[in-house]
Amino acid sequence: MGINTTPPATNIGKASTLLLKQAAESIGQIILGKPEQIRLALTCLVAKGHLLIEDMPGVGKTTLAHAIAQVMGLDFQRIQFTSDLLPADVLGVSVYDRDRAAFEFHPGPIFSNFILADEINRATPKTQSALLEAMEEHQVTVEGDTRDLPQPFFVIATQNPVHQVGTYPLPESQLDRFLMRLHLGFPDREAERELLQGEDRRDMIEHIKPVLDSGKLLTIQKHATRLHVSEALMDYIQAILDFSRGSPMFEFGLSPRGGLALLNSARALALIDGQDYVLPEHVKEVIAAVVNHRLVLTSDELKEKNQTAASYISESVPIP
Amino acid sequence: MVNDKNKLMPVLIGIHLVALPLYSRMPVPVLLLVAILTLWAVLIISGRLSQPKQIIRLLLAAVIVSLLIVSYGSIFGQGPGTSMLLLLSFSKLFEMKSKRDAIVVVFMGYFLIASNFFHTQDPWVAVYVFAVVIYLTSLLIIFSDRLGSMDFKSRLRVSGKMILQATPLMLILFILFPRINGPLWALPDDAQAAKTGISDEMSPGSINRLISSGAVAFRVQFEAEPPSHENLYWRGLVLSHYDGEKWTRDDAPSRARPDVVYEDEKSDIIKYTVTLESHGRSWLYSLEKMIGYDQKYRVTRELQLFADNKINDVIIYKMQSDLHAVNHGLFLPELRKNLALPVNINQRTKKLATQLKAGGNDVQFIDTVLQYFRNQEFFYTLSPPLLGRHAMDDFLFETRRGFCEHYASAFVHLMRAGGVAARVVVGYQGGTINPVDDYMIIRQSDAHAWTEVWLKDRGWVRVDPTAAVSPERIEQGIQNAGLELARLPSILSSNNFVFLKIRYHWDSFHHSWNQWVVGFDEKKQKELFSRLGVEDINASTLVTWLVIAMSVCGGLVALWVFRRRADGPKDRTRYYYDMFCNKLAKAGLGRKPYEGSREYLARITMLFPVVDEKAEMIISYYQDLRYGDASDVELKQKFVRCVKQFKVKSINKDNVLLQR
Repeated sequence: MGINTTPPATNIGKASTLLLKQAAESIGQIILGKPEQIRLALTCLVAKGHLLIEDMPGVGKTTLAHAIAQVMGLDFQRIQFTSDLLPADVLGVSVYDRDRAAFEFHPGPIFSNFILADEINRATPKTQSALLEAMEEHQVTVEGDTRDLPQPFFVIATQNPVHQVGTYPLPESQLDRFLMRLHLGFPDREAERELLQGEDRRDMIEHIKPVLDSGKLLTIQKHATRLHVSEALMDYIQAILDFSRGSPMFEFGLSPRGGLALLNSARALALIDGQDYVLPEHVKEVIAAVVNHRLVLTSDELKEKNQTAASYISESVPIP
Repeated sequence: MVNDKNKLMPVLIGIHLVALPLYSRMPVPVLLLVAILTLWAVLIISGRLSQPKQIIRLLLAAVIVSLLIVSYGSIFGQGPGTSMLLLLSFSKLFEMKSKRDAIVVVFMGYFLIASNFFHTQDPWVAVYVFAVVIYLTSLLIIFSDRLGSMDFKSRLRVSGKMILQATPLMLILFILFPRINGPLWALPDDAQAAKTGISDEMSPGSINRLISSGAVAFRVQFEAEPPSHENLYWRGLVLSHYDGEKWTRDDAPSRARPDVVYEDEKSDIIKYTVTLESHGRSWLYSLEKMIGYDQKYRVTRELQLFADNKINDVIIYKMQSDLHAVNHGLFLPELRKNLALPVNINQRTKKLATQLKAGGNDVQFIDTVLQYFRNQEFFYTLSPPLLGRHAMDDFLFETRRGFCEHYASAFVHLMRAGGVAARVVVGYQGGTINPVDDYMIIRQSDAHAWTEVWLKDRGWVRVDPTAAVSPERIEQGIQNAGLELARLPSILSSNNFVFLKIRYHWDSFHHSWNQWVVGFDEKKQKELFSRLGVEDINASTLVTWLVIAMSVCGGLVALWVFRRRADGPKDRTRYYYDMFCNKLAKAGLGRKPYEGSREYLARITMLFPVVDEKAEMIISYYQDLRYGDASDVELKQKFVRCVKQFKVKSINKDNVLLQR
């Protein structure tokens, strides 16, 4: 392949699919028994979204984040959120340099490709919103100066669902900033046995080889946005949006951002699947992760039927 | 690609189907050549022989032309014409270069199939032609089905559908196309091969021959009660000339007008409509002493009715007859003509006539002769012995066994020998009423010959010598005349009630077919429109209506087609996907509305391992078409075809279990 020729789109697609498959396999060696969550986490990454993992402590949230960062070949920063964490601790601070007689910006941990924001609900809302704004804007404004964050930029935030004293759970309006929310859950019996018998997961992470690098990941992300979406699929997504807005089950319905999130995730998943176009099934596969944290239920009716907002929607909206 | 035996074999069969009814009328050498060409074509199509070189094809053309000239004497005319087209169609199979060549053969088939109507316009033929046209259309489908994905049955279904869709247009054309009075184009004289029916000469055996034919000569619808059986004399021709062997026509010059005195009292006038089957001759049949007749026909002095052309189609004409009218049409040359006898033969007969006349007047003479037939041992039979040179002598004095033609000619001979002008009349006598529709059927088996005798004050008087020998024949019809039943057509001799009933129903249908399809001429067309309340229809209004009706019809079809097009390719895809889902739904595996194609496939695969391969293909096509950016026409066609052919036959549960 010549230097000046860009590879045909389908070739990029095939290569991307292959790489992402390898990545998923590598991560799967570390996180046992959770292929769907790994798939969705990668989808989220490819769709340029941010991921919220909500689960009990000790189920492997951090390990997952670590493994992804390692496989993706991204530089990784972990920020442990505590109640006394200040925005500047995240974003960075300008310090006066006496030799040069000028303020010099010391970038915070947010200036990296991959950030694990651990236990985000323990920080104060002020600090939370500093992070969330950075996530959304892909840039940081400190003392009047706007600084771009590195590309790609991916945040995995974890949140402990147990309401403890002194925690500030993210409000629904802020949850919207995360493309997906995942639950990891306990591993099944088999996976757990392997986990117990095997070596330490953290050590294993050190040994896995990166499959991608930030350049390749950017290409993949770009390619995902170019995947063909037919009118029929657009119709389906709009039908979902209309349904969520019209249904009495939900307080507000999905925002336009929610619709975009659905579309972008479905696209990314189709790429992971090696498909040239998006199928309604892709939408349905991501819908739980994309929609459930964005919708506020008006009653317990769905819970009583053991349904989530997503399963309710996907079983109610006919595929046009 | 064209020389694919799967495509050309059906074409070969198609030509044979087209020509099948024609074979019975083709001379043996032509049939032999057809057989040779067929064999040759089979060898070429199956690849055992290569296509002949150009020089051989030229030679073949020369052979065809010379064979036709030898067999028919000419290459012009309907017989050699159709044979030539047929043979050339076969030879076209020897130079298949492109799809076009095969299509030309099929088009030739469309043309040739119509030639079957030259011979008969029976409903059966129409049904056969319809079926063959459907087959021919299915051949065209073979050549446009590029993917070759349709089997014989589905091709027939599609072509049947197409022909059915064309039927409204056909009906519009049939009803509205202006009919031209008279034949649209002249058929060559040989268009009609010899047909069953009365001919213009009579010799011993000529009427007898017709008796075993149950074919319908004509059908008559009376406006009131039909006359009694013994008065049902359907006059055809008058035969005045006898050469000692056969009776032939010797008509008065065509300028001579008939001279009939009709009754003043009009109450006895019989009005009726005759639907005459084509008989290849120009004369028409009517009851005695016609009054009213269509002016386009010609009446001779002998009261024979003629059409200008040979009757090669079913024709329908209205008639009025007055049984009691007096026919005075005789003047001197005719008197002489009707007294003439061949000299030197039948001397005994002439002597007998003189004896019987013996001074009595003409009426007495007639009675004496009839008495003679009645009292001597004469037999009415279908199998009379052969007669020699002195035919009348042999019959009157030796054999005394004869059929109506024997009695008629012997009677006229005796009359003339006795100095009474007499002539033979041939036609039909009797007829049976079809109880289904209440019209009369006159069959070939009703053929009859009788005589007319000139009496000075009464004009031409009908005398039927057969009635003297076998009165039952005249009063009750041929089937009751004590003749050999085995020689009569089964419709007359059968006593099977169901069989007769079916025959009558069929005949009734045939009659309507003749009335409204074959006989749908200018008059019928006018009649139809006046029934609909439209009077004074003429050709230009008809054409206007025709154009309007065709445009409306075409417009509706176009609208339908465009609406389907306007739905867009995606919806077409969707339409066929729904069709696919519905097929599965019938087997109990319907798609849930919120179910994506991939999830659906997973469910199908789980339940129906038998069909999953095809289902998988269909669904992958569907996904590509509906969700991909593929707008490939071929893919679309494949998808549509796959869905159409997709079948979930009864799911064998054991099979499902076994496969798991």
